[in-house]
Amino acid sequence: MNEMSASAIPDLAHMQLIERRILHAFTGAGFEQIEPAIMQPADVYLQQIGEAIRGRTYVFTDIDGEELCLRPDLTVPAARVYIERLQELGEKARICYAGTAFRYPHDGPAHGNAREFRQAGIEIFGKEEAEKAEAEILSLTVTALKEVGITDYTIRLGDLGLFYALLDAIEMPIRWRKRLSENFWRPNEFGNILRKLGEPNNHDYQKEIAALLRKITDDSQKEAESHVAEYLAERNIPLIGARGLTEITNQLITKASDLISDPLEPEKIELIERYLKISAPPKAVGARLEDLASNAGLDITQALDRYQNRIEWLSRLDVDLTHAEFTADFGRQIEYYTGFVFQIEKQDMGQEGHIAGGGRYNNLLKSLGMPRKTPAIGAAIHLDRLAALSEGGKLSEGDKS
Amino acid sequence: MTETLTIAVPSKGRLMEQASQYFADRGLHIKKIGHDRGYQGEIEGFDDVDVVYLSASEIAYQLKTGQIHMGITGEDLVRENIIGADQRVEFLKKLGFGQADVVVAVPDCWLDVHTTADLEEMAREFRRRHGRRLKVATKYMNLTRQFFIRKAVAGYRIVESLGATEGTPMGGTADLIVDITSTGETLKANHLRILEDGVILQSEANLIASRSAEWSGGAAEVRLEIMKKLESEPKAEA
Repeated sequence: MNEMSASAIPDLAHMQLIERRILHAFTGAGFEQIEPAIMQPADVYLQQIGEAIRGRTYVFTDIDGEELCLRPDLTVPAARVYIERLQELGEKARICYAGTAFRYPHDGPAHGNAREFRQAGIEIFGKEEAEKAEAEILSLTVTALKEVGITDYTIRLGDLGLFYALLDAIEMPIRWRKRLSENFWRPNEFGNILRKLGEPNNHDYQKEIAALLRKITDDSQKEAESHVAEYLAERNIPLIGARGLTEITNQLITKASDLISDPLEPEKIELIERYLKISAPPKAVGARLEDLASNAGLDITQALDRYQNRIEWLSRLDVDLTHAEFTADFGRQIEYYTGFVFQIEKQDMGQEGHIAGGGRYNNLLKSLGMPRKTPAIGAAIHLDRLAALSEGGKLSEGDKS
Repeated sequence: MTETLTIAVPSKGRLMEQASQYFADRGLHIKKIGHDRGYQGEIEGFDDVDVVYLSASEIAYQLKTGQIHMGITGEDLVRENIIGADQRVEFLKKLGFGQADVVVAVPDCWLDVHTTADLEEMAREFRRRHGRRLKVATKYMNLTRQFFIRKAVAGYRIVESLGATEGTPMGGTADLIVDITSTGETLKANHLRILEDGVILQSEANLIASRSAEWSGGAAEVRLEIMKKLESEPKAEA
């Protein structure tokens, strides 16, 4: 770890000043400040975020046996506040916060790696013009950074919406498309699936299972179920657990149809791979994508219009895109992002240089208990990283206008 | 006792017997001091070695903290309880007993699930249909998470199970399990099947040294003597 890491404990007054200025920028832009709970119910929370982060989350049990955790980030707790205070805040809400999040460090708590870090964030919940809200979030993040004297960085942009549009436009069985889009955020697995879809007879089932799959290929659901039941009975395998015969049979039918499908054409695979390799200045991306799509005879006009609309909003809000880069395969780290994503990066500093980031996550609110699907977009700034960067800088109470 | 070097051996069962036998076959006779049910012991002829009898998981814990210099325990417990195990302890010798595999096992009736890739694909359908992630019962929380990250399986959550894990899918408290198995008989009796790529770790009893214990003051020299004995050809007892 170097001196710039989160382990270098920043001066308290400096840290507080940074936090105040950033919150001031947020509230000044009309975002209401909230204070999400530090302790979160482990179950609701971790159902969303998955075991990979759960493994790094501090989980404990209270005397009543309830499983709680220290929040590993602030987006989910903020979303829960929104849902609880829906009546009062209204369906369209703009909120901000600053607070501590807790995670077991990647390299362990030895070597002075911090278990806790501070974040400030903003979220826009509810239905608004999507691209405008996205541009506003990025613009306000940039403004807040400027307030603490940080202006020299690269903005990395991504758009999962473009990828999904491309995938929708390419003709293939729905279940393949589903498999690819659901695995987009896991690059290795995605690559494996894509490669496998291109291979003829891409299965390695045991003989008996392969025979069963062939048997049910042309079956109706009912016939298939009775063939599966027969298979189980012959081998004295009882049905145990939550999954019933229908559920198991459905999955087998899906597998059976893969078995007889022609492999995905090499041109289609190449198209997806070529898209994912695109990395270009944001304003040049539109033309690049139009070429890519029209050469392949695909129509992704809607998603492209959205992309262009966002770029226009960004320039209307004076976001400087000279040092920005669109990267098609960016946005693959977090499971819950669904559209526009961005990250603000200090060059040559690795993870510690990622000082802010955010994106659209339209599925999270409903899975946290909202009665219907509700759009959401947000951003978070890493206050410790920021403090380490601006340590010893020219910040003082006085120069705040 | 002079206690230059402390070595821990399992305090009960087959593991204790096999550990004593393994040492005895190589000329290191471990015996208890005082009461037969006590937890202190010595190695004949090694005045500066202190033997302590501990549970296998306590041995893993004390190797991590450095309270003991050396210990005999299962690799599964060490990898589960010590994050970054290779940096914190040293695996000195596989002992050839206590073999058990840590495996992912699913209900045998899941004819659609044979690999971890099948599991993940099914987990998404499962979540849509049942409104929750798959529940994995295990006492190996860390091994499970690390393995599933490596295999890109995300649609699950762990329910901690401290005993009779194999029974949880049939009992309905979990959908699948991660557990140890040696012969596979218990899994079979509970209508479970190991995934084709579901062996997480092939574990056995190991002699392990702590890297954080105090090795100055003669402990390092005593360790060398013990290792020299252990490297010698085993002699059957007369």
